[in-house]
Amino acid sequence: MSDRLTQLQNAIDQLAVQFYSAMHYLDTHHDFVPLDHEAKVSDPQVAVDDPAVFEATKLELARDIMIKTRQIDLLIASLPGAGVSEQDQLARVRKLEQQLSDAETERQHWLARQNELLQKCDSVILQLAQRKTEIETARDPAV
Amino acid sequence: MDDQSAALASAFPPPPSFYKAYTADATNALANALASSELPPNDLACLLPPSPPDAGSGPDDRPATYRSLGHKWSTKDILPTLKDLGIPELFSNASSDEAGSDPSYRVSELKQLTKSLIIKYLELVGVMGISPEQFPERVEEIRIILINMHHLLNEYRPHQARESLIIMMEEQLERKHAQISKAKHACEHMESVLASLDTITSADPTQNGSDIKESQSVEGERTRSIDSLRQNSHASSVLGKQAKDGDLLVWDALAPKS
Repeated sequence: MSDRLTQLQNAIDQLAVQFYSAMHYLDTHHDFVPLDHEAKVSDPQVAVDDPAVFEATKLELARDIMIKTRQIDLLIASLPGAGVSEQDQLARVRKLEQQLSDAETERQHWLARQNELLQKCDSVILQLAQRKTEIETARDPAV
Repeated sequence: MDDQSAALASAFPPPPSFYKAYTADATNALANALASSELPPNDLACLLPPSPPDAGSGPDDRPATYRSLGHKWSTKDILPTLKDLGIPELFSNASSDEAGSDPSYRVSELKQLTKSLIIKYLELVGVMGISPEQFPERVEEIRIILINMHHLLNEYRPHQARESLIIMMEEQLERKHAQISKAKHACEHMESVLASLDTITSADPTQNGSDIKESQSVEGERTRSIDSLRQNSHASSVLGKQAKDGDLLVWDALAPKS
């Protein structure tokens, strides 16, 4: 998933391609209209579509172009950070930087405290284990 | 020379013609020539790397260019304005490059350009039906509108980059806060466990052992010290069982932390 700007760029490119393909379809699939008293011309390059099909395809192409345009409009409207000036952004970045470094200090503090407690815990466990052995040997000197 | 520039301009240029010249003999000779501060002889000069392109000292100087992979690149990364490219600007470009400009103008400009684009296309289709020979004009207009749109988008990129940076920093901050609260919680839990252990280990041994009634209650067993357990361990089997229970309690208390 690319960012919105790239999506918008791609959508615009696709719209241009649609322009071309719609034109190309009209050029290569249209029917001919005979002039007065003349035979209807034909062109081997043109594959004449059935009028109904031709109309339907035309409608579809037009609809596709409109949908793409709506998509572009939507993407433009949802561009990130519209209405925020560069100064605002930089101020926000600086504030976040400060907050991040504050949070980092706090994090280090708590990590140190955690280690401290862990060591304490270790010593308590060792102490208890030692006493447990003492109790067991005292209770049952034979073992 | 033409041969060489053609080779440089191709997308996948062949290795330069002089790549075979870097023999041990030639490089030694070059080093000797340089050490004796003479100008290296002509046949060795091509072994010296060329000086880097001049970046231009003044702010208004056009930065130097270099060739790579078939394209000309500027040593300074700048987005050339449409004027530089000889394409008419269709948007009001009063403050596009200045810091602090309101980027929202691009949004409205883009919307207008999209509408113009559709109308121009409609015109083109109409013209094709009536007088097809007039098409180049419309196609050119569409081309210019598209280029303008892309230019506006590219101008928008730094803005979006800053915006993404802000979002990333916010996420990072959130992660750190979550870590801190987790660490805090763990510390508090550990402290409470250690404190309850303290009360077990530091309880007065004389209070226990003799008073069996109290040691039968849960509270009594909790405060029973291990020292006293050791003292009483030689006594009756009932006491021995209680001592065992006391041990279990201590291990239960430790279990969530270990």
